[in-house]
Amino acid sequence: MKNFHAEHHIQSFGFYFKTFVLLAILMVATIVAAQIPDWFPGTAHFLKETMVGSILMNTIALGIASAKVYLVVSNFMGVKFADNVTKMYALTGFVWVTLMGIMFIDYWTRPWEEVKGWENKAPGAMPRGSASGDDEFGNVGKQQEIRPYQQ
Amino acid sequence: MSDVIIGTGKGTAVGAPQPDPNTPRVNYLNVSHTLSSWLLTKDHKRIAMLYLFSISIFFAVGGAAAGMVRAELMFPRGSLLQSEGYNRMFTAHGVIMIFFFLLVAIPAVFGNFLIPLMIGARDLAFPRLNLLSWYLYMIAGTLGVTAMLFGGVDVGWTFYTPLSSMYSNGQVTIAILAAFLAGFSSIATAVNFIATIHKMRAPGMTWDKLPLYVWGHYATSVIIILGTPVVAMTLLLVVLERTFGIGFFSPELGGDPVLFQHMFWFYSHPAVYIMILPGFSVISEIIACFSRKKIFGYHFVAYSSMAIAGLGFLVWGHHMYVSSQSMYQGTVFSLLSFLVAIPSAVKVFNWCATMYKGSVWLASPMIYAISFLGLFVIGGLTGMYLAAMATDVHLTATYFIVAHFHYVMVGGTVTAFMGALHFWWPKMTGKMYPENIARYNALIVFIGFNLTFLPQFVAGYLGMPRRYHYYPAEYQPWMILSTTGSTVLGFGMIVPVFYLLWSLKKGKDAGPNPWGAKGLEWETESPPDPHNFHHIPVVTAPVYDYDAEAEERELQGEN
Amino acid sequence: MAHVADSHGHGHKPEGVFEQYEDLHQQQSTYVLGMWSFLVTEVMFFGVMFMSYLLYRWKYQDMFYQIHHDLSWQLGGLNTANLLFSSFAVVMAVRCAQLKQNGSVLKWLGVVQLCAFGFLAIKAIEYKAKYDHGHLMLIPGNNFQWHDTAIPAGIGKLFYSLYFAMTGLHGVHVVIGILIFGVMMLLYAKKSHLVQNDYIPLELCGLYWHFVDLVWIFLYPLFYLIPK
Ligand SMILES: [Cu+2]
Repeated sequence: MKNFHAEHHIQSFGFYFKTFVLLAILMVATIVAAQIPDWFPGTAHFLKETMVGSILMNTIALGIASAKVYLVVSNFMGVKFADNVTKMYALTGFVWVTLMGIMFIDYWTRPWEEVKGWENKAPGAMPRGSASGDDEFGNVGKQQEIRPYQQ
Repeated sequence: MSDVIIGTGKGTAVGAPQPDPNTPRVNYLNVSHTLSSWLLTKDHKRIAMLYLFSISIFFAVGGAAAGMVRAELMFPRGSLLQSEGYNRMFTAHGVIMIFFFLLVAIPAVFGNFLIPLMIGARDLAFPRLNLLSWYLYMIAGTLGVTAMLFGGVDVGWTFYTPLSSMYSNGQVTIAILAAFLAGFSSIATAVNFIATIHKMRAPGMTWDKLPLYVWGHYATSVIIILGTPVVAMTLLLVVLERTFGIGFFSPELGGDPVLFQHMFWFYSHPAVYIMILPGFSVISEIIACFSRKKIFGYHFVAYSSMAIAGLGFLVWGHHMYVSSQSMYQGTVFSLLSFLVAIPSAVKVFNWCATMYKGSVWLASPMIYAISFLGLFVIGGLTGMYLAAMATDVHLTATYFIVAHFHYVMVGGTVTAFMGALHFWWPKMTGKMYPENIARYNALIVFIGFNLTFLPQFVAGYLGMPRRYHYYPAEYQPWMILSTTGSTVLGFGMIVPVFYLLWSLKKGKDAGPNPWGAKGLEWETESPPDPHNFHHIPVVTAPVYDYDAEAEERELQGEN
Repeated sequence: MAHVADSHGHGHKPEGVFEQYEDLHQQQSTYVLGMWSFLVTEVMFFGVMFMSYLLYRWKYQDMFYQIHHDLSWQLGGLNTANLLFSSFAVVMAVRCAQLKQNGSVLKWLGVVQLCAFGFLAIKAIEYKAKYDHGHLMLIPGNNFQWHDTAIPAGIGKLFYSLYFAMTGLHGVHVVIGILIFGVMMLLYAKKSHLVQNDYIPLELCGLYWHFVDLVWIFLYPLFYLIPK
């Protein structure tokens, strides 16, 4: 109950406006970051074709999105001034949704098992083991390298 | 905050004088009699009664489907149904029982009725949302039964793709919409419970004094709000794929069918806990009351509910060992599945320890509670066989699985539901049912249940696949045993309907506290006042303030 | 027993407090918590789609990168700015409601409605372009037609399935937002007692709207600005 009065303190126009300006800046930043490979062709190879560049670009894009989400949740949605229970629930959803990501272990480790006779040629099927075939989904390349196993 | 202090200690402080028999006291049942006063009610107790009425109907429909399935399986070459009819029948049984009975039964009936009473509130936080949830449930149920009647669904309650999204020609879309709406109905209930339990507790009702019933429902609500939307969305994607060809799961459309299973079981394993945790919470109340002891290890039982809610989300892959999931992922899920047994075992051991040196009274709710213990232990331990990858490859999709989850769902949840019904019926209606008949009936349920499902463990272990209705003749003895048992079980489910209805007319008045139980709900009149409490109580006594020794001394003295 | 007679009297409560609550503070904090637990549900609801997106994006990363050039980052950016500003307008409306300035509440809600309709209009332009993409149909379904020989049709279809399902569900949420803000404007215009003593109904609608904004904040980089 004690915390509750804090929640009802009315925030100033300046506080909300500053938050909005920050959000706008972040939005511009994410657009600019995405256009850099096109605007500066010198960086294109590093940012588009290498693993490090790719991870960097994705991290920047999602990092900025997360910063925006943080600003909206804490300042606009008032979680910053809310009681602890509300804070907990505000956090829970975002944390819990990542648990679904456990399933990526499955997709990541499936190719480790090379099960003979399980080559799946159905179009679009996730490659399993030594899945082969130049199907219309482009399951070529990496999978073909382990072909010797299939003899 | 409140005017008058009522201790929760001695179980006598009812705020009003005993009613004069000639002018009946106003309670939530007789406050008004029109149909609209029921259909538009915002009273959580009336909504609970609406739910009790409607889930009973769906339970009967699902039970009838089960009866057809069992009758069909009497003979290895079938008797009643064609293959398609059989598929539709077991799907009807599964969909109705899970989405319209098990997931809803205890929270929507007893949770609705008791949570405000137990925490000393006038109502749930959002009464209109509560009523809305009942209407959503009814629309969903009507849609579901419609789908079963007009064409049926033959995909099983799991709606696996691409069968459900591409090939099946039943009323899959309608059935899925029904499950979707039922999901939102339970989300509405869960949001209500969470807000109520956090914010509406009476002064002095700290988390340490909260009945375990409320703890269990809190954990259930958390699972519902975190899990149910996932399955709702997943099923919606199946509908999109089926009707518009938007491909997420069908290989032909570029998707991955196993993705559906990941998403589905992300919810549907925790859904098992949505069904069983309210059962646990009922059992905690009954065992404490009829052993006249404080629950042994109160905090462990309370926190183990939360642990189950959390860990339950990390084990879904144990349903997918043979579904082309990678074995490395399977190993992780297998380990985690063993871990989730710990909090359940904590509960069982604590209940046993509560009964030890208690003053045990074998009233009908207690008989149900004790049979719950035995049946749930069997159901839980056979789950360990299935959590181990190697044995699961042999046992999966056999009758072993069927027996396992019926031991948890029927032996657990339905038994707990019957226990709750008998325990709180005097509170809900103010009438006592014939106790001796109820006790014998509890035994009949126990025997019928075991006769139905123990043979299925054996048949499954010997290799009989589930969902088949043509089977080798060598399995027939087990199937006959099982069908016989299901008849007994069905009888045991029908008898209470009669004596409970009889008690409404002719039963003795129960009085506010027929069991001598502790807890705020027993300090109201039976049936409770429309506003629950005459004054919001202030809780001073500890939770489960029983004294087994004093009880025993009193009994000795009487003899 | 003198207490019993007046036990149901709730006359001492201020107006706008429902009978199950003790006071306005309890009521308001309960409503906020209820809304947040509903938003948890919404996060999980969208989470399914985001997880599907991540999976297929990871599997077909190069091709998703090439297909996304069909989407206009300029229009998407316009919509992002649009939604961010509407979120700002919502908090201003709530602030005015806290200060009990009825007229300003209505003005700010009008701004929110403008933004929301603007969002839908831009979305319609984008959808139209996909419906009529150089005489090709990019909306998944039986009439789906694919043109790019370098990229398999199945992947094109998967990308657009994700795109339409996710932005479509988000669009549905925007429409619901328009409806509930419409109701709010009506209540404030009529000076209904539901919103005169209590700003929480508007606050709850605001929370919903911010959530709709959050979803878009992720959708924008994931679809329009995909880095390779
Ligand atoms: Cu499971």
